[in-house]
Amino acid sequence: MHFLFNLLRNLSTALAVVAGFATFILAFLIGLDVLARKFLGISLQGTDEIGGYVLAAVASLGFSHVLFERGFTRIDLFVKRFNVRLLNILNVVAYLSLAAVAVFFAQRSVATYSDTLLFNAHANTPLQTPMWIPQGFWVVGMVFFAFCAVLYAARAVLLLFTDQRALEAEYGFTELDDEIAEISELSSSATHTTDDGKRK
Amino acid sequence: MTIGLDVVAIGFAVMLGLLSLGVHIGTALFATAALGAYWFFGSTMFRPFGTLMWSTLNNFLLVAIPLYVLMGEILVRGGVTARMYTAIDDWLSRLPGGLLHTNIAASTVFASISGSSVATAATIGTVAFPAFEHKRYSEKWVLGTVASGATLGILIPPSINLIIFGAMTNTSIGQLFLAGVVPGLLLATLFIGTVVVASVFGPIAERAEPVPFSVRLRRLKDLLPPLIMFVGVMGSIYTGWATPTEAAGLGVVAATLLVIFYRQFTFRLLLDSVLATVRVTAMTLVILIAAFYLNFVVGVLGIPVLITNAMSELTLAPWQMVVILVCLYVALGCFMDSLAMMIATTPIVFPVVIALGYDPLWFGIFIVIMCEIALITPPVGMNLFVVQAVRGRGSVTDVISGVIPFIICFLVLIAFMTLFPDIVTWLPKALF
Repeated sequence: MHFLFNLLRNLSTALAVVAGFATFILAFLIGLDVLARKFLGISLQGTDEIGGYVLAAVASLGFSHVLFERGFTRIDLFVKRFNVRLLNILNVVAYLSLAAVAVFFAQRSVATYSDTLLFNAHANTPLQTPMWIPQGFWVVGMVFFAFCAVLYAARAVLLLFTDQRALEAEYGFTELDDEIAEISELSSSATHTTDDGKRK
Repeated sequence: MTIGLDVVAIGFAVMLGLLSLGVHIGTALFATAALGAYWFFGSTMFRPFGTLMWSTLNNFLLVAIPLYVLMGEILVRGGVTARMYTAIDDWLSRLPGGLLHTNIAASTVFASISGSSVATAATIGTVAFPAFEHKRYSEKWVLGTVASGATLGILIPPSINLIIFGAMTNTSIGQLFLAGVVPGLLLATLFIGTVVVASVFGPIAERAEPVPFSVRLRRLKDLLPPLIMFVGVMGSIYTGWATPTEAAGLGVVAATLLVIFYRQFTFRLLLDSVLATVRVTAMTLVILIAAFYLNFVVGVLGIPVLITNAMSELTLAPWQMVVILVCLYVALGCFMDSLAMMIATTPIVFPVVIALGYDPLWFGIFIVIMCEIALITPPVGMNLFVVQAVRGRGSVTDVISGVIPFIICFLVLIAFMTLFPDIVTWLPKALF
């Protein structure tokens, strides 16, 4: 089981990296478009359209990564003083309901996608993009997210009966500390290089 | 079946109930919307969901979210923002209140190139705390200025919150950005004024030794990049060169070039930046998908009309309405994530306040200021915990007592905005 989850986790990170680099490339495409339009009077048609597709891909391919990173926001205010047992039941409820939502999202996107295929839909734009391409990334992302979310929730249920501590550690509320530590380290190293001896 | 205000109350209670049990925010919003849809219309209301989800995701306006996030990530990780602190410090630390002003001014400058408050608080905090070592100062004020100053990130453009508000309500994002400038600067001024006044009543921070003028001038160059970025991003929008989303694309390009120029650019930096961007985008969009569906369901059920009618029967004066909204949002902000609070309430509150005659720009800025307050109100104000985590010792209570004077500034700003709505609408109307 460990192997399966490591595989899924790595796969979801890989998808997120691909989506992330697509965003980076999109930025340069947009930059080029704006400059070309301004100074050369020509426009690369359709960066806005591609931009929309990239966003859809980034979000849907990113969902499973966020799932494994426990990045979806939860509020712990009212429950943080609960004992571990009760807290774990709530953890399981949260991840089961997330899985249900993910399955619903996936089911609806598959339904929309099959309509797209059925009618061989094309975008109503100069690019005339066949919609099965951009929506393909979306559907793949949503189905993979649903798949991960269901397994992840099933594992939570299993842990509820076998290993309460692992459940709390892996499904509990997250802390901001890692991200902050990272930014802190970067910021302080950056100031030290520019420091001309004022701060010791 | 008739729909009364009791339905709204039940829906709201279900949502808050789910949230307080620790269900994910996206799930809670979606479940509330789906429950309402199913209850009154059956499963037919689920059918348009796929198309709705696609149109929410495939939205060029919202493409601005990952792009601005990426721009900020690259600038923070490349150390561009940390250098600014020293440069600003040189000029402001002679004022009564010393380095405290630097915290606020650096946050203001940082806000103009970043859309995130967490990044602002973490960066300014990291650079600021060591600067206070070996100086006499009141720690409470240091913590308060960093935590509150960092909230400016979502009011001063570019702002992720304003982009989302604009996309949800069909309000021009370019105009919203401009509308945030004057209130943002006013708020920064109120913060600085608070520090000055507090310094008169008792020394809260030692003034710094003057820095030689030549050094100050030399370090001024570190302020140039944020200035260029801000002028470039905002300028390209207002000269009509680029849409807000395109300006964000230009911003990413400029940020990348800048970090390459500083010789900080590595593959690792890029990888971390894009991954962080995907995370923020995905976690925001899952909430947005749910909220757009809620928007749809609430609209079909005619709930905004219902509330508008009920509100207009009360014939409240504008200031009374504002007081009610402030109370509502401060209460929600005490336990909800600020962005989620905005996204969850906009479908219902926006149509009501517009029907009552408020300007969409005014309300956009108002709700973002409410989000700022939510960032620093205990028990779950995000900035409080970021600042506390950077500080790494003592208790979060110190940070909480530090922000209290600044919460008053927010309320003063809201009072000003209610008395003189032009504070918000003047600049966008003048330039568009």
